[in-house]
Parts: sequence; structure tokens; C-alpha cells
Amino acid sequence: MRDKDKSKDRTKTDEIQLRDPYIACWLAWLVPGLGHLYQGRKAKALVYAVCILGLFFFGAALSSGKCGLARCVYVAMRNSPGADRDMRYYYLAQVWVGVPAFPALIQYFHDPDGEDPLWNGLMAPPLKVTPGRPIYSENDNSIDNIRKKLNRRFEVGTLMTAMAGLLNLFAIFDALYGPVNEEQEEQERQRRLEEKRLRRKAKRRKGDDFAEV
Amino acid sequence: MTLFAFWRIFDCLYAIPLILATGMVYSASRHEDIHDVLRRGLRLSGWIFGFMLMVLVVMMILF
Repeated sequence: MRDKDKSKDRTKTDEIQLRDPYIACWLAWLVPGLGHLYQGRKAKALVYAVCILGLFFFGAALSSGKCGLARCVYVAMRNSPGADRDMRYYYLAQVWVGVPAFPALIQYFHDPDGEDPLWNGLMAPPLKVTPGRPIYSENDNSIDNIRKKLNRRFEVGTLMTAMAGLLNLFAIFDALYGPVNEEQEEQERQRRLEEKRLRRKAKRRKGDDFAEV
Repeated sequence: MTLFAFWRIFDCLYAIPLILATGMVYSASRHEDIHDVLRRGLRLSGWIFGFMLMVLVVMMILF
């Protein structure tokens, strides 16, 4: 039954026409599912859009509150030692979601210190806390206060948005090369194993010949 | 203590959308037919969920 399913699936895979893979790849990065929609693969576009965008927006909603919107998605490059060390490596994963993660870049270039964020603090970097400037209250949006207000929702939101970005890499490669043909991969693996086995056998035979001489 | 640990299990519900999305997207990158994508995606999600549940049970027993 499984073999029958596999052959059915392979036949459908072989028939796929990947229209302009490079354009589709860019579109797939910009908006998850858009590249597949461009290629006419509507069902898969829906699966990618629902899963990836759903996960991203759910994570972003979890990290929203009085402190602003989607506070777990932001760019910060503060590597100064001391109280305000905040390097945001998670954004390297989140950015693969494409356009939905762009407001974080705009906010960073608008005001990297987070003192005057746009759009009600949507994806804005936390307020930079400078030692010796006691102007900050319990209600400011420094990273400590954001974490205190959002509690574990900040971490869960970060994980979800970062995973959504990484999952979109699958969609991007799918738009570029099409789905992985598992059976072909298995055949290739078997062929390589067989070649390796033959080489080892030939080597052993050569060694035996030397021993006889 | 046990009650507290039991209550914290509800935190694990956050994992459900994550596991479902991971299973579906991985499966979609392997198959073209939507029925295969959904069937295998759900199966993979089930495997991931089962594995994580097993690890959780082991950790609850150990700690």
C-alpha cells in the first residue's frame, strides 16, 4: 500500500513545472506561500502560508501587551559590556519570514535606542538603559521590564517566530528546486553504498595479491 | 509539588502549534500531493509529540 502511495506521489512530483524558480524563490522569502502561488501550486501555498504565517503571528501576539506589539521580534546590536548587553541573534532566524519581520529593521534604523519607536512600539528594540541616567521608571520598555511584563510569553514568542523563519527556508528551497524526491535519493544512497563496498572489496583483493607475492 | 508540576504541563500546550507547523512544513517540502502532505504531516507531528511526551515523562520521573 505504501509503495503504491509512493509511486503515485512520485508521478505527481515528476509532472511539476516550476515556473521561474528564482522569482518564485524571492517571492517565497518575501511572503511564505507567495512563491508557490506564483508557480500555481495553490494547495501547497496555502499549507505554507497558514503554517508559517500562523506560527509567526501567534508568536508575535503572545509577546504583545501594554509594552507594545510583537516585542520578541526586534533587532539590537548592543555588545557593550555592562547592563545593556543585548545582541539579538534570533532575528537572523526571524528575518527569513520576510515582509512580516521587516518592521523590526525599520524600527532599528529609525531609532536603535528604542526611545522614540514608531507604530506603538511594534517590533521596536527595547529602550537602551545607560548607566548613570536614572530617568527610567518601572513602566519604561527596557528589556528587563518587557521580560517582567511578558514573562514566559516572551520566550515562547521568540521560539515560535524564530522557528517560523527557519521553516520558511524549507518553503524557499521547495519553490527553487521542487519537493525532495525521496525514492530517487534512496536509490542514489544505495548506489553510493554499493560503489563504496566494491571499492573496499577491490582494495582487499589487491592486498591479498601483494601478500601472495 | 506534584500539583505544581502538573499545572506546569499546561505550558506545554504552546508546543502544539509549533509541532503541527513543523510537521506540516517538513512534509510539504517532501511531497506535492496535498493528501500526502496532510497525512504524513500529521503522522510526523504525532511522532514528534510522542517523543517529546516520552522525554517529559522521563524528566518528571527523574526530577
